[in-house]
Amino acid sequence: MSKDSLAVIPERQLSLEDVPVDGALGLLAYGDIGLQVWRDKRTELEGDDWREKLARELSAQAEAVVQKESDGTD
Amino acid sequence: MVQIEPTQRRKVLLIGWDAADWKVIHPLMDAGKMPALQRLVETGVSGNLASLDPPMSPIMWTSIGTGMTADKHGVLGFTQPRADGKGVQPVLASSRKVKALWNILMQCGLTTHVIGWWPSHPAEKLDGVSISNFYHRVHGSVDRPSPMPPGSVHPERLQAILEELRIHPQELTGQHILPFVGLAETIDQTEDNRLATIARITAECSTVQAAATWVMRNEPWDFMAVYFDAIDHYCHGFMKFHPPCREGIPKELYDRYKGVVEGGYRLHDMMLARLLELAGPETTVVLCSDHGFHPDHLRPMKLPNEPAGPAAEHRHYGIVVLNGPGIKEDELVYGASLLDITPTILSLYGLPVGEDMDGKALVGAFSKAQKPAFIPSWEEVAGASGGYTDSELTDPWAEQAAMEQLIELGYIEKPDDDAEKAIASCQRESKYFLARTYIHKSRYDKAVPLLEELFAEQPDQARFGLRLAHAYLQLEKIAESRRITDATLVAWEERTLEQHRKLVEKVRQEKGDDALAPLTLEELRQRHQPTLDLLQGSLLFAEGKDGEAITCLLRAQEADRRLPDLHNQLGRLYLKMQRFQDAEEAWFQALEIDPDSAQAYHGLAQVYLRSGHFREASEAASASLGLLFHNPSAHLHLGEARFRLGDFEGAEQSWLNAVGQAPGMRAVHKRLLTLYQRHLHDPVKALRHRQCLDDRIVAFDEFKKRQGTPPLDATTPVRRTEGSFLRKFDLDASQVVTIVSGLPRSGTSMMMQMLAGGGLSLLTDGGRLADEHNPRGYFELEEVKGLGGTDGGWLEAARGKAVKIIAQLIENLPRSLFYRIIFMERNLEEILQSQARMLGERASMAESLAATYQQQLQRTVSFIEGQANMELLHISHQQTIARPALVAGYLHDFLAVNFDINAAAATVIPELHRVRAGAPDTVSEGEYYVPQR
Repeated sequence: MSKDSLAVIPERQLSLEDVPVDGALGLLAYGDIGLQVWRDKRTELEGDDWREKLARELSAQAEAVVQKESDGTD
Repeated sequence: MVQIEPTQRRKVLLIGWDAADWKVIHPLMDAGKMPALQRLVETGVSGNLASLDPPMSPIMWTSIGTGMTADKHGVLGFTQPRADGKGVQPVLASSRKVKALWNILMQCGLTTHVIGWWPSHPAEKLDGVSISNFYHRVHGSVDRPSPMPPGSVHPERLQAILEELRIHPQELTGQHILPFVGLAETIDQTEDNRLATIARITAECSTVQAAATWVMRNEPWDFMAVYFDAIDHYCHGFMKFHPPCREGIPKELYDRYKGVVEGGYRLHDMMLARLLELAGPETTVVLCSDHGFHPDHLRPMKLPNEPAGPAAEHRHYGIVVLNGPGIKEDELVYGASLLDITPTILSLYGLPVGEDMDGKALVGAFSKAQKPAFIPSWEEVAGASGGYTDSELTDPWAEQAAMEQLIELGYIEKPDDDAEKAIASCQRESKYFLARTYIHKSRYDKAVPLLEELFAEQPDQARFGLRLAHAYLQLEKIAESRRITDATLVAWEERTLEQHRKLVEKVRQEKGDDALAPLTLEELRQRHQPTLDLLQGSLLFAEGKDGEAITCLLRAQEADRRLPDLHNQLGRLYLKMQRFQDAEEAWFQALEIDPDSAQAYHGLAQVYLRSGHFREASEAASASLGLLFHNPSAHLHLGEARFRLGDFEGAEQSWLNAVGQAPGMRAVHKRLLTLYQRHLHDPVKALRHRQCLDDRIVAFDEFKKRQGTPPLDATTPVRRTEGSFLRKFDLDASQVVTIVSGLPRSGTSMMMQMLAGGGLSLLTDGGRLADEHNPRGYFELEEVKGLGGTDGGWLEAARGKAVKIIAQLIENLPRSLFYRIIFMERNLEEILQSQARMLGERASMAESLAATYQQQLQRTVSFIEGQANMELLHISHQQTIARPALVAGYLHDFLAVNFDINAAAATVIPELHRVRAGAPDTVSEGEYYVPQR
């Protein structure tokens, strides 16, 4: 990993080939197109449901915290 | 309904970067690390943007978006009571009591988008896209889901699309964090959760960017405002690690996080580049921040232990950059305030500024000279503005009072203790912020009752007592100030000792030993001695006990040379004692600590003024005002310096600025009175300041001139400036000179005939004889041609008479007389044709001539409108020929003398006025005029 991700995205249409799967700050700075193309890249490599998985993980973590707090008060 | 439309079509993009500061930006630009902003600065206008007090972001961004201070716009803090009375919630846009810029622009028919503005929830129903400041927020811990809150997006059709563009911090990877923290992989995140903070801030601002870019690409717009709060958040979390390494910061933490602030700025530069690309060169861009953020030795070592204490890290100057069509290139703007943003953008569209706005249009940054137009208030303009309906508009404080009454009556449940405390605290802080707003506006009289309430409620809160003491001091109530200060110190000492006793007890219980010894009163005083000495010194100074004051202040200086405000206070004291060299040294030291201290430059100006160094005084006062324009006292001193240098016009401008900002400054009215009487020989203006000194109500507004008016036509044959100096100054009509003016061949001779026909005496030498172009004579006077080169003393003979003077000579009229000016307006094409016919081969028909004439006319009319000793009646040449009786009636009213309307009208012979552009006029049958006297 390097600091190259601070480089400005060239002013042209982004393609999946150009996009690192781990993303880059430059892609986020490019706005909706940068975000979308990076998400597409992840979908290509990680499958259609990577965002659902992430959402499920977050929900599970949240539930675990609630359960832990509830146990602590019992 | 009043319908106002922009006179200039353009696109404006307003970008807000909370807490952006030139002190961080300049080194980054110099190193080529912010190329987009650098381009913007180099091809536009940039400068400091003076902030407001209290420096709280929701208050200030609302001021930026309305041009008004918090007492008017109503947003008074970070939180507001919940409508159900069960606690508090983040402040909502519905607390805003006035229209924002985007509401005004929507009323004027422009399509506007607003994204992320603070506060802007619930999303307003604009005709464009409105995305509230709740939209991008990550709620709770970063490992929890964060759904989009209802009401975040308008219109509804875009909710699904924009929801999809929200980024959760858990989506981010190491690639997004490494640019901020190169050592990220070595950090144990179970011990140090700062990486999660960076991920949250980055996800939030990237969400705003994704939404903004989508909207720019997919929805048409005339105006768009986008607000990013991330720089402020990166700074509050990580400025303490920003190079150079501060004393007390562990080396390990410094090495980890020293790049976060820089990373945040560079990310914003990349986002800016994309926004500019999408906006295109046809868009005028305004980039601003609400305050700065100390990046250097002025970073506070410790934050005040009070609500909103972190605001102590804010610097008083934010940034402003203007770029694009209508803006100058590579220039600096001085004296700008965040209150100026809304008036400036309104002026960019050619729209009037509300007279109830506290800011000014930064027209000095415009590439074409422009005089701002004004209306009394945009609040009076009806029509859909996208704001909230009355039922949606909530006054949280009134609502809370209603809640309390319902609780008293038993209709609703009493909130639990914590909620009650939260609401009380929220109300207290809002009252405190309102009091600070009044202090900032020098309305100490309004601040005192609020602070008295707060102080009575919580006397141990030193911040309430000290500000109250300060307000009393400014009102010259020294004894009250002393009483409050003493009471505050006693309460503060008791509270601090009590807090320390509790801490000692806690340590004893937890550790079972006496690791922490109890604090004695003496030790407490010793620990805070420098601050206490500064406070006592300031008060003793106000009480006139200079000797004791200097002892206290020097003791404070010995203990802590960098105590805020110490050197300013020392400077003031030395100045009073006429120890000019010591005062100069004190303010130099203040500047060494903070090179952007407007107060220190102002102090130096006073030193130089008092010691007779007027050139230096002028420079120092200008430097102070360049940093902070709203300072009537500094304007007074700049005027003083200019006056002593013989620059009377400069002095006049400075003193007018002073009374413009503080109309009650009697000292300035006195100076202006003398200036007009003895140096500028303008008795009328002198009289106005005499009236101000006599406490008579005088409308005083030299700055806000009315916008240009449309040309006369059949429905408006004449137009008159408001008011009459006859009544105002108790003058007799025989003392007034009547002038007929306009361009040559605009009908001035015809008007002279009308006046003579109506019975007014003319001042003319009859030297120029009648000819084919003016068969009934020219009614001229040879002396007129010398106006400007002579003193115009001959005009004394024109009192009670009429004289013809062309427009270009009006500015040369002696200021000692009163004039009624009848200004003939005629189609420029007709004038040029008529002049060409008259001059034959000698005529110039250059295309530029019409434009030059137009400019000259505008300048002359503008000049007349600014003079208190001139009244103006515009008359249409065309309508005079078409409807002479009607116009003669208006002349009758204007001249306020015996004037024969019918005889005047009878002098007009339409056949003599041949050159006409366009169709001939028709005279309505039965048209008549009823004199109003």
